[in-house]
Amino acid sequence: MPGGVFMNLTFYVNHSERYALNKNITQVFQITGKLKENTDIINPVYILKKADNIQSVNYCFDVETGRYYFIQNVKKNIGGFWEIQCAVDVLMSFRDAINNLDIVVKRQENTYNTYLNDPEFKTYNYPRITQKKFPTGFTSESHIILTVAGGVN
Amino acid sequence: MALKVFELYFKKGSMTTASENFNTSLGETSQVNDALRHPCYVSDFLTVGNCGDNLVPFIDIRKSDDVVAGAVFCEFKNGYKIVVDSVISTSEYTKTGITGAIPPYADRLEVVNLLPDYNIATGFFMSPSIKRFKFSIYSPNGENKTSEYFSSKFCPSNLKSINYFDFYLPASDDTYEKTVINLDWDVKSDGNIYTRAYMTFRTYTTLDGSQKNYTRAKQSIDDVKWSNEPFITQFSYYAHLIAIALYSNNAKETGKGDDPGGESTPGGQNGNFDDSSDNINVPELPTVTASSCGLVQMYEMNLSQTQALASYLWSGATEFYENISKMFNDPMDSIVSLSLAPIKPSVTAQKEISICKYAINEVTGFPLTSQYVQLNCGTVKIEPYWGNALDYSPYTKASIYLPFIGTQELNIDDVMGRTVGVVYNIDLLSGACTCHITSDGSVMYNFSGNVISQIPVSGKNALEMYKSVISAVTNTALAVGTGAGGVALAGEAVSNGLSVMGSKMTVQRGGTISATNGVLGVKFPYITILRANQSLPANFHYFKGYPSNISGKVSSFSGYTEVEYVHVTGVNATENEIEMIENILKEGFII
Repeated sequence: MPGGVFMNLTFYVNHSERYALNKNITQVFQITGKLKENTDIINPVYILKKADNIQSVNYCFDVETGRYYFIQNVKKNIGGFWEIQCAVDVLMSFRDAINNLDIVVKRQENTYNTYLNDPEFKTYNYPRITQKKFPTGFTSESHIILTVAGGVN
Repeated sequence: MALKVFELYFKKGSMTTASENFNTSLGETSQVNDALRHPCYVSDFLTVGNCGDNLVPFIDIRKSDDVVAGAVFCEFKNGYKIVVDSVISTSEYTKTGITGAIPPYADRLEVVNLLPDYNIATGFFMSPSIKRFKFSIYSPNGENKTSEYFSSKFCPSNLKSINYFDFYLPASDDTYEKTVINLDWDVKSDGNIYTRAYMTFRTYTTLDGSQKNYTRAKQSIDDVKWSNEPFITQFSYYAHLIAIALYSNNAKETGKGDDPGGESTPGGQNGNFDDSSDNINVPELPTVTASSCGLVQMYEMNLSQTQALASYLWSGATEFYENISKMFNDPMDSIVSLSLAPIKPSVTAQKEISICKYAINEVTGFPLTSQYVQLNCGTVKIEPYWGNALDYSPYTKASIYLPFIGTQELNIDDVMGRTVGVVYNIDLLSGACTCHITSDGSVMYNFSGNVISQIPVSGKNALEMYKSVISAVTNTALAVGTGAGGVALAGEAVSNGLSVMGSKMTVQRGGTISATNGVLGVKFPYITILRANQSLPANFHYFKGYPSNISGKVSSFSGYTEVEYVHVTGVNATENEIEMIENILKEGFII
């Protein structure tokens, strides 16, 4: 994307984890900014002339690229302009398509089977010992058996 | 039809084919085609030799008696052999002689003009003895290549059903010693091998028994008829020899490591998913007993009764000893055994004891109705404790103590979540017992032991009893620990739980507790379960989830998710972004 292009940017506060698919974001302000030369849509740098609340935001959306971005760093350059270094959030940017993907899940918070072997198992070094007695056994008293030759009664 | 000069060489020499315009001075050779008309040179499997060489010495079988199973018919230069499998028949052929007017000549060219019209193919046969035998082809490393040859492209269609040779053999070696056999062969466009054979003879035996020499005129060769029928000429095997020579020269030896095992083919997924199981019931007790045979009788006795018996025996009992002595060297041998059993037998009404038909006065006992008795010890339900993989092997172990047998290891996977039963089938005569351990009613384990303790009634009895005690002690394994070591499950890292349980020593909790020792042991069975003790943080599934292996759309899941397999398609993103998506899905994200 050529530098010097003006982009319509919306700045947010992101309350969710970085790897959340659907982020909880609160809009703070909208502004027009220039895309710095020699940057790309994955790691763009925007130049803002003025941004009063720039310190309060950590997330933005670029209408032209259609992508959401994490604000990684904010600098003030020699000219007194704000340089906003961003990194694309592919999850939020493509969440509709990602939601539609077919997956085989390896680990899951809510849909799982604990009878699958889990390499994350941790155990104490002392085991649990249980003994179960059967209800019936041999008599403690003995019975005398005499066996003799000749079976005719 | 093109004629070729071609020599087939065997291990001991060569067989020559000849055609028009050949040079008899040395083996003139020319380019020939193989059975598929691919150009090949004689030197491909031949060495240059002399045309007109004697054939017979180069075929190992020289006379009729040599044709036996296993005899080597001939061996090729490349190491292939033709071996006699079995003799099918031996027959005589009509003898036809050549006129005695032909003078003997050694050099065939000297009599070129002598016999211009004689067609050898129609008249003369060298030997009356014809052996028909089946053959097999063996490669140099001993592989039987017969089937492969017959199904190969080198075996012409007219030979595919001919798995035997008709070999015309002389009665002795002498007749053929100097005989030359010439063969022309060609492959027609139909792929069949055509041959014509003719001989120049040094000697032959006529019907009148005199020795004659005969040579074949060169120009008469063309008079010999070509044929693709293997049996018209007496040299019916020639076509096969040519085809086998061509095949063997192209056949590839299968050596160790050479065989690729064939190409992979699709298959599988054809299981019937039927895991229905038959119930293995505890066996019934035998119905035929020693008592029913009439040679022994068993009684249950109480203390007063045994004391009465002892009193009788040691009181003199003259008549008893006199009678019993007629049957036994030692009258005490009539008392087969006196033992203590830990289980009440089934008995009938009390009656006077009889030993060898002689009633023992005032000594009574309760006759056993059967020498066999069954003891059902009941059942125990083994429930999962953790409700996860830790409840099973290798994280959890189980052993069972069985009275009169000892402690035995159980596979926890056989009993977890199931009802375990113990049933003893006991023979009170010998004391032998078989303990059947059932899992949900089906026999899963069988162990044997001995439940009775012998009361010695003689020095010999006592010795046997002590021996059994010593033997049991010897068989008792001391508590030996063996380190099992961690066992990694296929495809998974060794979990902490597995490494902990796996590295612990496996200790045997006892040895053989049988017979006399068993009387002193615990009288009821019990199971011991050793479980791994899980350490699990609260809400662990929120941070890391649990193993799932379930498929579906991303939108059908919620919470922390790690993806095992995904095809990222239908996403309008750059290649780098698609790669980022796949990596994040596999490393873990939150839906």
